[in-house]
Amino acid sequence: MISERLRTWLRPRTAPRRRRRSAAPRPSRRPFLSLTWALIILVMAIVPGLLAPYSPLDINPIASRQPPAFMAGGSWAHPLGTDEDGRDLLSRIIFGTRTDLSIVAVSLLLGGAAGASFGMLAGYAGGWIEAVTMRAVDVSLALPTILLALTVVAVSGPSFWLVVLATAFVLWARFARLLRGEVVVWRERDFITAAKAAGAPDSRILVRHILPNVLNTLIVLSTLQIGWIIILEGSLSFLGAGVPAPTPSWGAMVATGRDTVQISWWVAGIPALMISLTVLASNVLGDWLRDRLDPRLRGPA
Amino acid sequence: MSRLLLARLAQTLLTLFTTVTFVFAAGHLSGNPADVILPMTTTPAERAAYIHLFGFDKPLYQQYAIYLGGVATGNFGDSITYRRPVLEIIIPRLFNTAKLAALALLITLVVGIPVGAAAAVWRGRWVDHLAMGTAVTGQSIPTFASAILLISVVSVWLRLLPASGMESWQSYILPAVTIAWFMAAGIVRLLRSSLLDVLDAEYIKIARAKGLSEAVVLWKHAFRNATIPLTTFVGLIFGIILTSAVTVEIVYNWPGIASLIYSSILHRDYPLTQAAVTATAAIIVLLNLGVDLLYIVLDPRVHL
Repeated sequence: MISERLRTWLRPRTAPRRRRRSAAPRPSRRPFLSLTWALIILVMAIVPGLLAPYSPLDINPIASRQPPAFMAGGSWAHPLGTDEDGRDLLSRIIFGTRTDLSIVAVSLLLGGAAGASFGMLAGYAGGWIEAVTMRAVDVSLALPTILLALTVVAVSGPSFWLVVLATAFVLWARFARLLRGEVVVWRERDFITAAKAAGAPDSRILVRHILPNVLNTLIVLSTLQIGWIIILEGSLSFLGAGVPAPTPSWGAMVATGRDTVQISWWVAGIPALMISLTVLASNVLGDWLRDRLDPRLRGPA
Repeated sequence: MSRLLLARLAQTLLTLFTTVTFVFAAGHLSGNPADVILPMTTTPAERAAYIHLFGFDKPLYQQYAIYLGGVATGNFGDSITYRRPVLEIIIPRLFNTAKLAALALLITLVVGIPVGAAAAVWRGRWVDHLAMGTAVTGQSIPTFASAILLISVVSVWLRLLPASGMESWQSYILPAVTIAWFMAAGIVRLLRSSLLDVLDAEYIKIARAKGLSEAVVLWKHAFRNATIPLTTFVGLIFGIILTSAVTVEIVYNWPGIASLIYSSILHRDYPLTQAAVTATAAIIVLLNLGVDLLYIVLDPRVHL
C-alpha cells in the first residue's frame, strides 16, 4: 500500500517542456546579496570614522605596500594591506566609500531633480517648451562628457564639484528624456482631464496627480544610474580629474596602484573589486526594482 | 530633402557649435589661458609678449571669432610641446584610435549578437545563465580595471600578448578586447530582452505554425525586429567607445587621440587639447549623424 502522496512523489519527474516562451516575467527573488552589500556600503559611507582602524591620510613609509592579511607576509594590523605611502587600504576604502557615495547622491539629486522637472514640464506643456527641452537633451547626450570634463580640469584643476557637474550634466538629459515620455502618456488620462475641468492649476496637477504616478520610474532610473556614476567617477579619478588627492576615492586608489600592479596587485585590485561589486549590486538592484515597480521600463536607460 | 533630415542636420550643427563653444569657454573660464600654459618662472615681459603673440589680449568676442574661424578652416595653430601644427599631430593619432575602435566594434558584434540570441533562445538554461552572468559582470567592471586585470594575467603572468604599444598585430588584441568586453555586455543584455519580446509576438507564432524551421523563424523573422531597439545602443556606441578608449589607451600606452588629449592636458599644451577635443567631438557627432541616416535608410517606417 502506497499512499497517494508517496506515489506522486515516486513518479518519475518529467518536467513539461516549455513550448511557449511566456511574456509574463517570473516574480524575481529578492536579491539578498545585493541588498546586504548596499547596506554595508551605506554604513561605511555614513560612519566611516567608527569602522576604519586608521586615518585614511596617515602616511607610514616603513609599512609601504604590505600585503593583505590573507596573503603570506600580511598581518591583521592592516587587514587589506597598505599602499605605496603605507596608508591603510581598509581605512582608505571605507572613507573612499563616502567620497563615491557623496558624488552619487549629490549628482543624482541635482541631475535627477533638474531632469525630472524639465522632462515633466516638457511632457505636460508640449509645444515649443517641449521642442526646446528635447533638443537640449539631444545635444547634452551627444557631447563627449569625459573629454569636456578633462578640458575644464586642465584649466581650473580637479574638484569634487566638477565631477558632480559632469555627472549631473548627463543625468539631467537621461531623466528628462524618460520622464517626458512618461508624462506624455499620463497627460491624456481621464483623471487629469477631470482635474483640469475641476479648475486645478497646472502646478497642482503636475505635483499632486502626475508626480506620484512617475515616482516609480524615477526610483528605478535613479538606481540604474548608480553603477554608471561610480564608473564615471572612477574613470575621471583614474585620469586625474576626480576628487583631488589626498581625499580617498576608489577610482583614485586604482590609479595610485596601477604602476605597481605587478609587485603589489592589491593596491589597485582591492579598490577595483569594490567598484565592480558595488556597480554589480546596484545593477542587480536596479533590474529587480524595475521588474517589481516598473516592468515597462526596458532597454538602455 | 525632408523635414526630418533637415531637423537632424540642424541638430548636428547645434551640437557641434555647443561643443566648440564649450571647449573655448573652458579655456577662458578662469581668466587668461596664458596663466595655464606658461610656467611659474615666466617674467612679466615674456608673459606680455606671449599673450600678444597668441592674441590672448584681444577682447573675448574677438578671440572667440578667431577661434571659430580656425575651427571652420581647420587651422588650430601650433602645439606648444611639439612646436608643429596641431592638426599634423592629431590626424595620425585619430587613425590609431579609429583602428582600435573598429576592431573593438567588430569583436563586440561578432561575440555579442550570437551570445545574446543564444541567451534568448535557450532562456532559463545554463547558456542563458552563463551569458547573462558574464554580461552583468562585464558591465560592472570599469574598463580601466579590466585593462589592468588583462595585462596582469595575459601579459605578465601568461606572457602571451604584449602589454603596451602598437608594434605588431598582437598589440591590438588586448586593448580591443578590453573595450569590446564592456560593449558586448550591453549588446547581449539588450538583444536578449528585445528578442524575448519579439519571440512572443503573434506573427512569430504564425511563422512557427506555418512549419518554418526555428532557424528561419529566429534569424529571418524575429532577429530583424529585435535589432530595432539595438539602434539606440548603436547611437550611443561611439560615445561609449571613446569614454572607454580614454582609459584603455592610457593603460595600454596606445598612441591614439585619447592618450594624446590626456598628455596634452598634463603638459598644459592648451592649443593641442582644444583642437583634439574639438576634432574628436566633431567626429563622434558626425558618426552619430551617419548612424541616424543609416537608420532612416534601413527602417522602412521612417520615410524620407
